[in-house]
Amino acid sequence: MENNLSDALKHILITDDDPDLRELMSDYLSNSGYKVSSAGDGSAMRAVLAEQAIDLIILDLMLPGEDGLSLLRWTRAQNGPPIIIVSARGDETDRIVGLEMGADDYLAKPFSPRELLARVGAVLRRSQTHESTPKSDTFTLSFGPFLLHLDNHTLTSGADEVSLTAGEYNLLRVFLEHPNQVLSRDHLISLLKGYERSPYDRSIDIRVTRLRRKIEPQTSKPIYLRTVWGEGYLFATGTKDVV
Amino acid sequence: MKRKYSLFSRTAATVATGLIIFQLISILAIAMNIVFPLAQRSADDLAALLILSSQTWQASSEQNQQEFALHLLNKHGLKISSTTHPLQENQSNYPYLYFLRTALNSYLPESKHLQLTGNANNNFQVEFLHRGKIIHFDFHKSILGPKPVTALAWTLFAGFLATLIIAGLLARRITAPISRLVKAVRRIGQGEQAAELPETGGSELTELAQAFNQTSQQLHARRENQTVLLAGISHDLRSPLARMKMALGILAEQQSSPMIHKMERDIAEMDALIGSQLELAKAQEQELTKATHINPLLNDLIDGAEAREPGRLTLRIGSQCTINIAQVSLRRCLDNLINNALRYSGQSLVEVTCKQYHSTTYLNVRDRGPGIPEQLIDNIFRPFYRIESSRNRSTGGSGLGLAITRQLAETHGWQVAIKPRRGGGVSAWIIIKN
Repeated sequence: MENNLSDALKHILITDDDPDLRELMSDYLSNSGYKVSSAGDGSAMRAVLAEQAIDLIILDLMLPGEDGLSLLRWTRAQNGPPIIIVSARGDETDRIVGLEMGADDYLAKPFSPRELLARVGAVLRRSQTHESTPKSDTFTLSFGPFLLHLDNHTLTSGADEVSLTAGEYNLLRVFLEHPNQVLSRDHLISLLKGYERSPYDRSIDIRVTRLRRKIEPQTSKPIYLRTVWGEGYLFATGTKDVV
Repeated sequence: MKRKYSLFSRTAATVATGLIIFQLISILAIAMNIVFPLAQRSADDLAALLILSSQTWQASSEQNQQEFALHLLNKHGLKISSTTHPLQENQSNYPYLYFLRTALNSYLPESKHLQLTGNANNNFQVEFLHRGKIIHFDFHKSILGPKPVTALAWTLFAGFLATLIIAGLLARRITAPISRLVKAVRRIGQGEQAAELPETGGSELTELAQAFNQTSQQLHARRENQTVLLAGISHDLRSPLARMKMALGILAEQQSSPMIHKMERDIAEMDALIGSQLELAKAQEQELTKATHINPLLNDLIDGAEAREPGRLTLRIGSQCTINIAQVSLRRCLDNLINNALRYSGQSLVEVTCKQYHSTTYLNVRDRGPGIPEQLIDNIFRPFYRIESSRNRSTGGSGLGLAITRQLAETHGWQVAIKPRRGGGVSAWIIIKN
């Protein structure tokens, strides 16, 4: 759970036409330590933005009157706060369109409060540490016989270098930063958002297989990068104390 | 089963039969009333000329005979001579000779030496005994003048030719609009908006085309409405679902209960169902085609599936090929088939192959699982159809996967088939004609 009490209260604006859902989100985020305002449509949203300093907008796409995408475009043009889209239309194309139009994250309805909170936290953190160097102190991450070098983006096993594509490097890094926990595809996408423009579901699966070919002794029985059926992937570092 | 003949061949046959009967009757009438009498008359004239010539020739002096023979040859094409060796009559079936014989018989009632022959070069010979001498005539068919039989044959030939052409054209004229209609109806069945049929031709056909065009427009409008309706419903269902999930998540942080986990799973299931329903509606929309290398597409697809089930997939590509294809739709189709194979075939290996013959691409996904009973195969493409639960390793899936696959295939004009595999298991095909 996030702890934002050390900073000044972050101000979140929720724009959704469903009053009940708005209330649920707003209560939950307030209880988690954010200041929350809400708006039922585009004009209410503009009114709030005109009067208050907003750090993050949670934006529904299907709104009465002006729709979410056009509000997204407007906010981007104004150089406004980061935006998380929440939408009932959650398939791959919708996500890609949303992300490419400048949303910072995309959350498909229905979502759980914990996931919302995690995404809000991640986007706020990114916008804060924006342009600063990666936060990790160590410059290598290790698993099994492998070492991932964060400075020059290479992977070595003993003296040998294992060649990785940029996408594979990003994914491996995300896994190594969250070892031994199940990561759903959605979660992986939001984690990858820190490194690339618009990752999507299928590209994650493809990268997992290609990574396995490079790091697993036996691809059909992965020991590091494991599949958790129906949930996602888990990276077992095995010997994580050797840093 | 009774064999079905096409409307084209039936119409053509009817028209042709009618015309041919008409021709045969008119030919008969012409033969009876014109050709035979004409031949008779001509034979009569020739017979009279022959008799007259032989009389003149016999009555003339030897010098005059030669002059007369020359005259006869030049003027009438008849070569006259007398002979002592009677001609051997051969079996000639030239019909004119029959008329000539009858005519000569009527002039020479007592003659027993009447001989007529004809040969293949249309040279005729006639001999008869006249006043104690055998008179011999040679002449060519060409002197006979009018050629009624030839004329008749030409008429007959022209008649048949005209019959064929008329029957063909007429039948085509009737059936062409119908073939157009069949094609248009097929396109509607595949979810495309059929091109407007031209409202031309006979009044019945115009009416049919108009009715068709109207119906097709109505259908298209209705289908669009349905898609919009489905999207609307799904959005509306997802709103309360989003509230439920949110509320349940907040509840889970305050107290723990196994019921909460169950409800979360139910919500996820409902959500998946709504997603599939939306996808099915979307599968009716035509996606633009793009020239695509099939190899990288298949490699990505297999790698993606392999991530979920490592070590269970093999890929064989028969030929390097580029095809014009709706990429996203093809990936969905194949992904569904591969997922089904992985899900329902226990731990067996799933093979994916791609072959190309001529311009047709055959994509095949096959497993060695328990297979599908043959009598159930027709049902598996139906939405929400599931084969008994023993085939279900996990409950996953909305029951719409194959329905979506088929809808996508229909929309893009591909063929999808699922068959029992020899030796056990299932073999699923996508066939793409480029």
